[in-house]
Amino acid sequence: MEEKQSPPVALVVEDDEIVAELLTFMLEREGLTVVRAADGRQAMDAIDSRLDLSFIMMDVRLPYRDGFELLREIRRRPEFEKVPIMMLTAQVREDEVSRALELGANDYLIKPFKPMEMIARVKRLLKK
Amino acid sequence: MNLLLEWVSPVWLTDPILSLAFRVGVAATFLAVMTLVFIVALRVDMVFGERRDSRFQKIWRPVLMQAMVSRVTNPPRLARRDLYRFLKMWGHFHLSVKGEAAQGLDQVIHDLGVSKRILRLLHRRKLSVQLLAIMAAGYMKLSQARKPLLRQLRSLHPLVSLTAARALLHLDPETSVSHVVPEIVRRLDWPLALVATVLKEVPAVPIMGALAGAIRSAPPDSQARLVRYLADTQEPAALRLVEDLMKSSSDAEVLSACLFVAQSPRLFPLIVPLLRHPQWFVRMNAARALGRIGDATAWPLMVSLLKDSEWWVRYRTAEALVRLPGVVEGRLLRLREYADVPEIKSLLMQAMVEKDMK
Repeated sequence: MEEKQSPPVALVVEDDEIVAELLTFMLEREGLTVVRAADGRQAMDAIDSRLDLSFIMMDVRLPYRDGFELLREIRRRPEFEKVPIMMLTAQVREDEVSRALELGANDYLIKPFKPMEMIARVKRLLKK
Repeated sequence: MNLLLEWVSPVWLTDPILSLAFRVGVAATFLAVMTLVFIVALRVDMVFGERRDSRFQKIWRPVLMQAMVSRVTNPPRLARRDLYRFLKMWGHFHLSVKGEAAQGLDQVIHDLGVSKRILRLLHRRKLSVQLLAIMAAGYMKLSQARKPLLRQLRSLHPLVSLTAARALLHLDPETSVSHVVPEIVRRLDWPLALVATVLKEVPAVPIMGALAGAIRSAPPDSQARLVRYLADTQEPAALRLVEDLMKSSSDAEVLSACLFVAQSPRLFPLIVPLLRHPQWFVRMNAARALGRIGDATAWPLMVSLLKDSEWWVRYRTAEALVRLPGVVEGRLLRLREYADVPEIKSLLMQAMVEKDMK
């Protein structure tokens, strides 16, 4: 019997509930299973408990631990070394983009964003 | 009957002190009961409000999210009392997306036929309602809203006037620029970051050109504030203005603001002399500007600033050296290794660690 392949799991770390909902909607539309975290602590809990993550999308500004700190922490772990990470940042903080890329993010998204473009970028990252 | 009379007006009430105590007691009990009724009513209202809110979210969140990816042909009917809730959610989504997704949101609100109701909300006293209506009128490009928006642009409330400015620029950037730019110059109470966000949302050609013209003729103290709005723009008039001000202005605040937004390597020769400016914040911003747009030729000039008399200049110079385009890690390590002042070693160490270097 053919074994059914489980869908890739994405972690969305975003404290803005509406944006998190939108990201979840878009990713689920593409067949991903989404795990959500609303702050840095929840994100670390999710990372500790889910080793099957195929993709991480997180906001830079988060309560408790910011996105940069998380990024550094995630990249330190060998099991997450190759997991694609996309950072979300506000339009007025474009300098954060270069910092995120330096710290190991694979891509970034500046808010406000185009949802379809976001999906295209996620697909590209997942293919890699 | 006598008993009843005695109960209603007992004999002991003829005593003035007892009568007063009785009346005070009755009034206190009445107030306590009324407070209790009020609290219960508030609680009931809150519970019903939450339920209504959750029902609303369940219906409208999927509709609006769907609208961002494809046309929603038959949107549900929007109850009159839900318009505020709708505008709140719709506005939140609108601030998060752009392009076709934003157009999809506009399409939904047009299909709902709520334009007249939104125009009426523009005149509501409640600030949150008014702000949502202003924002919606702008995104929907409601031409009938232009007059009230121009009035609101002159509102004394900074949020009302700035939201009206944003709405006008969305509605019609070409014709609104002549109204909005003088307000940007005049309003000291508009938050800098919000204005910068608004400026990024509209096409640079009309607004940045007009703003550059206004800055040119503004007094130096306004110039210093306004030049910062030109950060990140590639509009030629704005770039020319920064260059001209750096050549002609002697005001330290203006020069500092120009250095803050400088992003063209063409400005390199104008920045170098400012590394020796008598004001420390000009020297500091000159070092930071070189860290962005300089190259290896700026290295010796910046290294000498690591011994500046002002700590902030030394600190920011160390950061700028680490970011300087074309500089390899080995060169920084050698500089750190052979630095004759312990503080230089620690400043460089911190800047390199922040950049995830050794």
